[in-house]
Amino acid sequence: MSTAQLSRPVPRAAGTGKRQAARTGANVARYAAVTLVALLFLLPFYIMVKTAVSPAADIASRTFVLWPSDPDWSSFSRVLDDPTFPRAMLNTAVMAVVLTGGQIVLAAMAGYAMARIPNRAAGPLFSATIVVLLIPAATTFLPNFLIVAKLGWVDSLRGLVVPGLFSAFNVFLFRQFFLNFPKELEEAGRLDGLGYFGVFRRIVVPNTLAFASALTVLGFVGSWNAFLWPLVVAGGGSGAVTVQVYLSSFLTAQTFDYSGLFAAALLSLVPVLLVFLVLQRWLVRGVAETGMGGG
Amino acid sequence: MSSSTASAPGRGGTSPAPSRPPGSGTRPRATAVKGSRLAFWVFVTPFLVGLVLFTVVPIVWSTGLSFFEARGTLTPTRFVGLGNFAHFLTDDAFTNSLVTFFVYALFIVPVTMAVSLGLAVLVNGLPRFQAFYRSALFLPVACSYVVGSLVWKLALFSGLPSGVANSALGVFGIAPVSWLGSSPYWWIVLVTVRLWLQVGFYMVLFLAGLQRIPPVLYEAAMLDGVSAGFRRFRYITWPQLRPTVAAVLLLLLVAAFQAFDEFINLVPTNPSTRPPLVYLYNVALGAQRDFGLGSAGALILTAIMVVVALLQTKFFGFSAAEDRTKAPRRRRGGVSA
Amino acid sequence: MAPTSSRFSRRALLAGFGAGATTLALSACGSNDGGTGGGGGGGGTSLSQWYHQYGEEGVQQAVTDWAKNYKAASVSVQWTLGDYASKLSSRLLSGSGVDVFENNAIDPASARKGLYADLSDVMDPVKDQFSEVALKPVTIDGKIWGIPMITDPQLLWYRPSMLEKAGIAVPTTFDELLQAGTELTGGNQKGLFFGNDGGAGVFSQAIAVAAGPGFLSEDNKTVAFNTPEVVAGLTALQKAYKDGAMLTGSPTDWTDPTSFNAGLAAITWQGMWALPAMKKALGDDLGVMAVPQVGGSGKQAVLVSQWNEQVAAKASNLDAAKALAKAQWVDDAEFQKKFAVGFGFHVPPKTATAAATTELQDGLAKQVVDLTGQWGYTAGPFWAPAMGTALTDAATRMLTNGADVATELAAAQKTCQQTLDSLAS
Repeated sequence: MSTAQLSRPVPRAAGTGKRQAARTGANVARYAAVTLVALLFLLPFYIMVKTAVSPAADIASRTFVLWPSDPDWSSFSRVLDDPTFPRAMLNTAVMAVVLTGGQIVLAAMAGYAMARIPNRAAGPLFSATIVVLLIPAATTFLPNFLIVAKLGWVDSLRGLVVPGLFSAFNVFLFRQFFLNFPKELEEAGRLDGLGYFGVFRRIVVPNTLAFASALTVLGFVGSWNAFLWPLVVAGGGSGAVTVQVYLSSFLTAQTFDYSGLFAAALLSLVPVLLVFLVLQRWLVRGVAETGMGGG
Repeated sequence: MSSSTASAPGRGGTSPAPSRPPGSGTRPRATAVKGSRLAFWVFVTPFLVGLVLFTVVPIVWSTGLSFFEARGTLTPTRFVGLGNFAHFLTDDAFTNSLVTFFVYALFIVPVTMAVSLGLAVLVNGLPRFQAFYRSALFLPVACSYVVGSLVWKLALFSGLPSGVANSALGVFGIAPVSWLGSSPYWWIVLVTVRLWLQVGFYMVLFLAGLQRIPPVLYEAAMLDGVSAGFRRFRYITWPQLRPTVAAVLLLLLVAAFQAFDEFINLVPTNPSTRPPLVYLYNVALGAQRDFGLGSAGALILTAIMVVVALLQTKFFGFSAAEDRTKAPRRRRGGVSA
Repeated sequence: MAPTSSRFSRRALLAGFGAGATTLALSACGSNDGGTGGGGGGGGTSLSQWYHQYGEEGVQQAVTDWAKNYKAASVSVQWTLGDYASKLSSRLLSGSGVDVFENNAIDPASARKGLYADLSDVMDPVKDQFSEVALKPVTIDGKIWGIPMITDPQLLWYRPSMLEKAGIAVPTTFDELLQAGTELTGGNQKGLFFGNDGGAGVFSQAIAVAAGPGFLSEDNKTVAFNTPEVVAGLTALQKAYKDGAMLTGSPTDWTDPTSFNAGLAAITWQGMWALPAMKKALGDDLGVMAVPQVGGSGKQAVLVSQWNEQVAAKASNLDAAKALAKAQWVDDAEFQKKFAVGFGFHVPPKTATAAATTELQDGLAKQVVDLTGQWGYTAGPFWAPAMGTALTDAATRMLTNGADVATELAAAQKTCQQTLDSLAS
C-alpha cells in the first residue's frame, strides 16, 4: 500500500537512544492494541465456522464448546445441494453486479456533465440532487414500492434493480471528483479533435478507475447486503429471493438446521470478500479522492 | 426547500479555484456551447429520468395518498384530510419510536465516531503491516446485518449459559443474562452488532482523511516543539480532519435514523426498541398494510431527516469541496447563450 | 408447521418470516419453487398456488405431488420463504401471479376491498361438515372467504418427571401454574417457556381468554379484554417474569420444541404441530393441559389458529381456481388427512375427517382434540393485526419494563377500539 508509506505522520528525526527506545515501546503498545481489536473483530467469523461444523444439539448445549470434537463439514455441501440457496446467490449476484455497474456509469456521466459541461441547467440539477441526497432512501421505500407494484415488477429482478440504479450520492461524489480533474488532459484531447463524448471515453474514464473502484467496493457490498428493499419486493417462491432474505427467513423459523444456516451465511460472504480483496488496494486512495476524506 | 443547500457555507475549505470554461480561448466559444448543450443532456438524461421516476413521482404520489384512507389497496378510497398526519402525532408508538431513535443515536453516533477515528489513527501510525490490519478491521463491513444478527442472536449473545457472553460472565461467577429479553441489555446487543458492522467503513474514511494531511504540517509542529501525541492530534490532526468528521457525522446520523435490519431480526416485537423505520414498516408493509397512514408517516420521517441534515450542514458544512461549486456556476451563467 | 396466526402470534408476521424449517433438509426434494413444474393435464389452464414455508420435512413434496397429479389444470406451486403475509398482500395488490393461496389472517378490509374471491357458493352447501370454531375466521359480513385447511391448537405441555422430582402436582389454577414455574426453576432449568418475549406475544392473549372476556364481544363491536380479572392475571405473569421463572433468550422460540426437549424448561407453550417431535425426543415424559382458569369467573383456554385456502379475486381463471381449492380442501379427504397428521400434527377442520383420522384417536393427540373441543377459542377476523400489535406492545412493556398493568391494558384497549371502529362496516 504505497500511499500509506508516503505519509508517515512522524518524520523520523535521528533521535537519541532514549527517544528511540521510547518509540519502540510505543510501537509495541500500538501493535498489541491493534492486534487485540483485530482479534475481537475476527471472533464472529470463527463462531460462524464453528457453528457450521457443529452437531445440531450444540446450539442448545449448556456449556460453551470451543471446537466440536468431531467437526462435520458436510453442512456446506448440504447447502449447495439445496436448490434454493444457489438460486438466491445467483439472484443476488446479478442484482449486485447490475446495480453497482449501472449506478456507477449513470452517476459518472451525470456527475461529469454537472462539473464540466457548461449549461444553465447544471446548477439547479445539482441542487435537486443534493435535496434528493438528503432524503433517506429508506423513507421512500413505501412510495417506491407503490410505483414498482403499479409497474408490475413486484417479485422480479427488475423490481430489485431498477429503482436502485439512480444514486444521488454517487452523482454528488463524481461531480466533486470531476471538479478537481486536471483540465490539461481534457484540453489535450480537444486539440486532437475529440468532442465531449470522445474526451469522456478516451481520457476521463481511464483516469477515473481508482476512484470508481472505491465506489464499486462500497456499492457492491451495499447491494449484496441490502435487506429492506429485497424483503419488500422479492416475493414468493425464490423467483427473486436474495440471499439475505433467504438467511433471515431462518432467524425466527420454527425448526431448522443451524449448521446449514451458518454454512450458508459463510458461503454468502465469499463473493463480497472476493470483490473486496481484488479492489481494496484502491479503496483508501479512491475514498480520499471523493473529497469525503478531507478538503 | 431552496437551492441554498447546494451552496452551504463550507468551513475550512480551500478558496475557490477559478475555473475557466472548458475549451475557452483555444476555440470559438459558439461551437463549445453548441456541442455542449447536446452533450450535457445526453450525459444527464438517464440519471434524470430515473430520479424523476423513482424519487419525484413516488414522493408526489405518496403525498397524494397521505390525505386518503387506503387500507390494503393502492387506490385512495376516502378523503381524510390531515387525519393520517394527526394520527401519527397522537400515536404514542410513533413518538416512542422517535425517542428510541434519539437515545440510540446518542449512543451509536459518538461511539462509532470515536472508535473508528481511534482505530484509524492507530493503524495510520503503524510502521508495517498496515494493509493487513486495515483489511482485518474492514472485513466485517463485507457482512450483512442479517448475518451479523444471526451470529449475535444465536451465538454471541444467546440467552443460554452456553452463549459466548454468558460463558464469559460465568467465568466470574455471574448468572447468565437474557440479552434480548431485558432492558438495558438489548441495547448492548444492538449497539455492538452495528459497531462491528460499520466501524471498518468509517475507519477507512478517516484513514483517507489522515493521509491527505500534508506531512509538512507535522514537521513544522516538530520544529515548534509540538511533538507529544495528544497535542499533535489536537492542534493539527483534528482541525485538518474537520471535513471528514462532518461527512461521517451526517452519514452516521442518516444510518442511525434508517436503522432497520438488525432491529427487525433481533427484536421484532419489542416496543422499547422500535426505531421509526421498523414502526413504519409495521404500519405500511407488515400485517397492517395501511398505505395512507404509511405514506403520511414516510413524509413526516423524510421531513425530519431533511431538517436534521440541513441543520447539520449549516453547522458543519457538508463538505469543504462545496465551496468550489459556487464560482464555476456563476461563471457558467454568463457562458450560456 | 405454521404456528403463526395473526390472531395469536404476531411475532412471526412482524418479523416477517413465517415459521419454517430449513429447506436445506429438503435438498433431495427437487422442489419447483420458481413456479416451474406442474401437471401435464389441464387443457391449457395454468394456475399458481401459494404456500408459506412449512417446517416439517415432506410437506413441500406432498403439495407438489398433489399439484402434479391434479388433472383439471396445470398447477405451479410457490413455496414462499420469508414474510408470507406481506408478500401475499403485495401480490394480491398488484394482482398478478397468485391464483389460489393459503392464508391464516383473512382480514375484513381486504375482503371488502375485493382482493379475495367470495367462496360462499363453494362453502354454503358443505358448511355443516366443518366445525363451528373453524368457520369463524373465514366468515365476514355473512359471506365465506376461505376453506379451512388445518386448525392448530396451542396450549401448555409439561414434563411429568420434572414435576414429580420437585414434588409438585399438575397445576389446576393459574396461580398454581405460575407457582409451579417458580419452584421448577433452578440451575440450568427454568420453570416456564412462553416464548422469548416471556409470553407477551401469545400467552398474554391466552390470559385474556382464560380470565373470561376473550378479545372482542360476541357482536365484534367492543374490545372486551380490559377487566380486573385480566389485569390480575397479567400482574401475576409480570411477577413470574421478574422472578426469573421464565426461559427467555433461547436460540429458538416457543414454536420450536428444541429448548423444551433439551430440558431447558419444564412447562412450555406449544402447538400440537410439535407433538411428533416432542414424542420422539421425550417418549412418555410428556403431559398436556389447557391454560387453567384465571380468577373466579374464567374458564380454561386453548387457543386455535388456522390456515385457510383462498382464491384471489383477480385470479387468471376464477372458476378453475375455485375448482382447484374445492377439489383439494373440500373433496379430497385422504389428502386432508395426510396433510394434517403426516408431517406435524394438526386437526382437520372437517368433523368427519377428524373423526376418521386414527392418529388423533388416542393418547396425547386425543387429549388435545378433546380439550380443544371443550375450550377452543379463536378470535375471528375482526381481531386485526394492528390490535394484536397493540396488546403485544402493552404486554411487552409490562414484562420487560415493569410498566403498570392496568394503565397499559387500558391504553391498549383504547387503541384496539379505535382500530375496531374503523373496521365497522
